[in-house]
This record gives sequence, C-alpha cells and structure tokens, in this order.
Amino acid sequence: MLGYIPLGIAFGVLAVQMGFPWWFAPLTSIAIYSGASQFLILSLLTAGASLSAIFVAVFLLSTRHIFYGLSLLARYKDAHHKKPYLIYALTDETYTLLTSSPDRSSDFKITLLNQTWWFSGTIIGVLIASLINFDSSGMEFALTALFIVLSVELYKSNQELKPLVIGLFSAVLALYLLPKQHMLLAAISASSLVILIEFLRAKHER
Amino acid sequence: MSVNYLLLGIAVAALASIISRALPFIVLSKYANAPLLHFLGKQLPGAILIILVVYSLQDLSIFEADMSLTDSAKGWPLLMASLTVAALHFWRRNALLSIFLGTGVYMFLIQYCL
Repeated sequence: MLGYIPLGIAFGVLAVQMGFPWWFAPLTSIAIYSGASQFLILSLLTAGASLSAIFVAVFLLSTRHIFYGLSLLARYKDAHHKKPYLIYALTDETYTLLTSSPDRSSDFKITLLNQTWWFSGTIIGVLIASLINFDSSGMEFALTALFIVLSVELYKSNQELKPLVIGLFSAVLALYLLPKQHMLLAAISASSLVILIEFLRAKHER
Repeated sequence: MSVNYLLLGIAVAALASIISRALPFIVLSKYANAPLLHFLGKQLPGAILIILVVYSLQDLSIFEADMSLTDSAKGWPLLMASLTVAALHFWRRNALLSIFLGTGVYMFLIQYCL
C-alpha cells in the first residue's frame, strides 16, 4: 500500500506543472480521493469542460465503486460509526487490499493508512514541483498509463474479454462519429446498451 | 482557470464520487443479489476502462478525424508508451512499475527524440 506515495507524488507534480494552484491537488485528495478521477479532472478542467460534463465523466469513471460496494455490503454491516468513513474512502487499491484478507478488524486502519499515504504523496509532489524546476512535458501520460493498468488488471482478475471488445468498438465508433466532447458519454451509453442486450438474450435463452 | 471554476469543478467531482460510493449502501442493498447487477458488475467496468483508455489517447491526439494516425509529434510516442505499459503490466503486474516506466518512456520520447 506504500504504492500510494509515488503515485500521489506524480499527481501532485502534474497538477502544479499543468498550472493548477498549490492547494488544488491536496484538496482533491480529500474531497474526491480517487486517483483516476483526480487525474481525469486535471485534463477536463484544463480543457474548460462544463460542470455537468465533469459530473457525468467522474460518475461514469466511478461506477466501478458501485460494484465494489455491493460486494462489501455484508462486510461493512457491523462497522457502525466507522462505516461512513469506510464508504467515503473506498478506492481501487483499498478494495483490492481489503478483499485479499478475510480479517475485518483492520479494515478501518488499512483504509485510513491508504488515504494518509495518498495525501502525503500529493503534498510531497506539490512541494517537489514548486521547488525544483524541470521539464515535465509528457507527464500527463500517467493518466493513460493508469487506465491501461486498470484495464489489464481487470482482465487478469476476471478473464472477461468481451466487455473490452465492446468498449473498444464503442469508443472508436464514437470517436469517429461524434465531436470530442460527446465521445465519452456516447461510447459508455452504447456499451451499456450492448451489455444490456447481452443480458436479456442470455436470460431469454435460459 | 478561475478559482471559482476550480472549486466548483472539485465540488461536482466530489459529489459524483461520493454518490458512486454510497449508492450500493443506501439504495442498492436490496438488490445486491439481482442477476442484472451481477452481470453489469462483471461486464461494465471493463468496457468503461477501455473507453477511458481511448478517450485519454485521443485527448493527446493519436488519431486524425479520419482515424489515421496523426502526423503530430505525439502519435508514435503515445503508441510506443501505451504498448510498453500494457506489455509490462501483463508481464510483471506491478502497477507502479508499469505507470512510471511507461510515463518515463513517453517523456523521454517526446523530450529527446523529436
């Protein structure tokens, strides 16, 4: 889980290098606290995206949290006063760590530590970028790399190739047919529709 | 980028994040065993992630409008770096290694090789 520090540093450095004020990165590490979403809004805000576009994009990117949460319903049932924090601070990394061990007693500690590392990393990154001058052009690729890693990770854990193919087709088609700002929503809607049809067909066959 | 715009952007993104995290615990708990949710949980995240890969790549202009690779300097470095990340992650499955090395390759290519 110490992996959160270097990635947090990269996020802090990138935010400052892209021209965001020093408080921006640490604030998002508290308010949003989701690496992928935080990286994504850097590019959305730089492009001057509308607030509704930001909402939709971040929500769609975060739908994976819905499925994490569903699988943790039973586990968090008796967490009492710790439950709100556990829900707020659920991330890819935390989910992976928690579900790799059946012991629930350290759930809160692990979750809190993860956010502490992520937040500290962000601060260190902001400091580095503010104090040291270097050419960071190309660093924005970290976002693409993160999405590629998450895709490969998902494929390795569930071996489902079909959703990836559906997503790729929808994305390329939307990219080709639509202006850039509508591509994300259109592609995700198209994929959802195809997946829904798949579900209905499978149900019908049974 | 005005401070107001940044703060509103953060607020909106924070709202979207918290909704996605709270939804299963507040409204969806009744349907936790619904076959449709299980199916979506297995299929949707993969599709969305691939779309985000393509989205973040087009943002950096790898494709032209007619889907040919762009002549702009970033096209080939992007492709090389993306393949590096994917191959590395299939091989070592170390998220940090894949992200840092891939980003390093990209930064090196666009800063020194063009």
